Amino acid sequence: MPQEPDIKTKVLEKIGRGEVRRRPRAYFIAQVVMVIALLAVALALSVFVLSFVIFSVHESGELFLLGFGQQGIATFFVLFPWVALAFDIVLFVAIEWLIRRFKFGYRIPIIRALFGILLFALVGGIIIDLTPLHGALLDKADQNELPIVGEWYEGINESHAGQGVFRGTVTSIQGDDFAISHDDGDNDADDGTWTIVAPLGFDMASIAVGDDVYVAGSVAQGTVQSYGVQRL
Amino acid sequence: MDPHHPEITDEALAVSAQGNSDEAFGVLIERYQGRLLRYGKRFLSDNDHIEDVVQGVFIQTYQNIRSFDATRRFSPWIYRIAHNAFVNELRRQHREPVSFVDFDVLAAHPSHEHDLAEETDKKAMRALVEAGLEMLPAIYKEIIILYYIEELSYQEIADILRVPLGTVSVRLRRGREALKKAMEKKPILP
Repeated sequence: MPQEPDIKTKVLEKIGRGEVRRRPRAYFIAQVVMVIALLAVALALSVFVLSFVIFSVHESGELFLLGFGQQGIATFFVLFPWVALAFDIVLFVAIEWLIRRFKFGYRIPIIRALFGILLFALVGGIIIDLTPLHGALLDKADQNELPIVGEWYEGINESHAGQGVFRGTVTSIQGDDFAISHDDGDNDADDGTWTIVAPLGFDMASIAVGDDVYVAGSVAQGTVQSYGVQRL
Repeated sequence: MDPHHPEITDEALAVSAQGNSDEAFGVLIERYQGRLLRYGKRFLSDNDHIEDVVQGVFIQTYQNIRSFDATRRFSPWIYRIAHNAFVNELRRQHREPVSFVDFDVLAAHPSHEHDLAEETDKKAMRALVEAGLEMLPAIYKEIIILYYIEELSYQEIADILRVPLGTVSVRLRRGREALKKAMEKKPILP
């Protein structure tokens, strides 16, 4: 009968020669603390990013697009902050991976865990959206005082002429047409003046000179044939 | 405390090894080397490196012994280290693809650990496992080994594989079915 290999002797010899050592308890505590810290940062970041997505959609006026018919819904999906949402999804996966290191984590099926994380981020995001945090950050971004995510915030109040979406202040009204101008002081592509042809059936009495409006339509030579107008 | 005393539990030995007792760790090696070699031989089906892999498992166990929570059982803890080592070895050898996406852990599955029919079937299954284990893919092979050969509980297997309890249940059922199907196709030799 073949003799069982002497693993014990080999391992104990390595231990005896000092080639293998027990890691101190502090090493494992530090590891757990690091995972918990990473988890907390990832959770906070995911809540923040999701709250930004919610804030951006309603602050930019893009939510109005959903009430502008099929064309509006299509434009809503084009303008949706997908990059921020994709970043949040990556964070969700990272959080799931981190909680799987704990017993309570791997005992939960992945779909249920991801749903829980999404729910947590969504509730947290809605709560943060109710606070003045994003409004204050938007003001800072407008004054070019917000590093890293400043561009995300600056994009909220931009017109998207290429996608047929305009924001501006009503400067004059004539019959079914009105003029808007947008100038946020940075002389970039979203600044300008446009003549808006109101959509059929639009109640012109609902807007007045000086109102900020959100307009969706197709532009040609400075005139926008609109399919949706909403006072901001 | 005499670490060689058979009534001393693995957990008590691990606590001694967490201190400074290399002798207690030696007894743990004695207790587990046969089991881990058997587990490795079934799992990897390649005897060339199994001794080295198992030796590596004990070295990792020694390095990480102070992370062992003595209020829990030692056996699933060391099997978890062995599982990782064997999976890494499988990947290294590229002999069998080990999927990174495990669809069984995505959704919740009910667990039926104390299925009476299954328990009475256990002896018959063990014979079947001995005969047809080689025909199973790694994902089922391991769980079948842990349950029928190593005789670990569903909970212990769930802790080793880091999957929900329901996944152990569903994977075992599928493993059994796969084994029975494979055995039906296997030619009967004289």
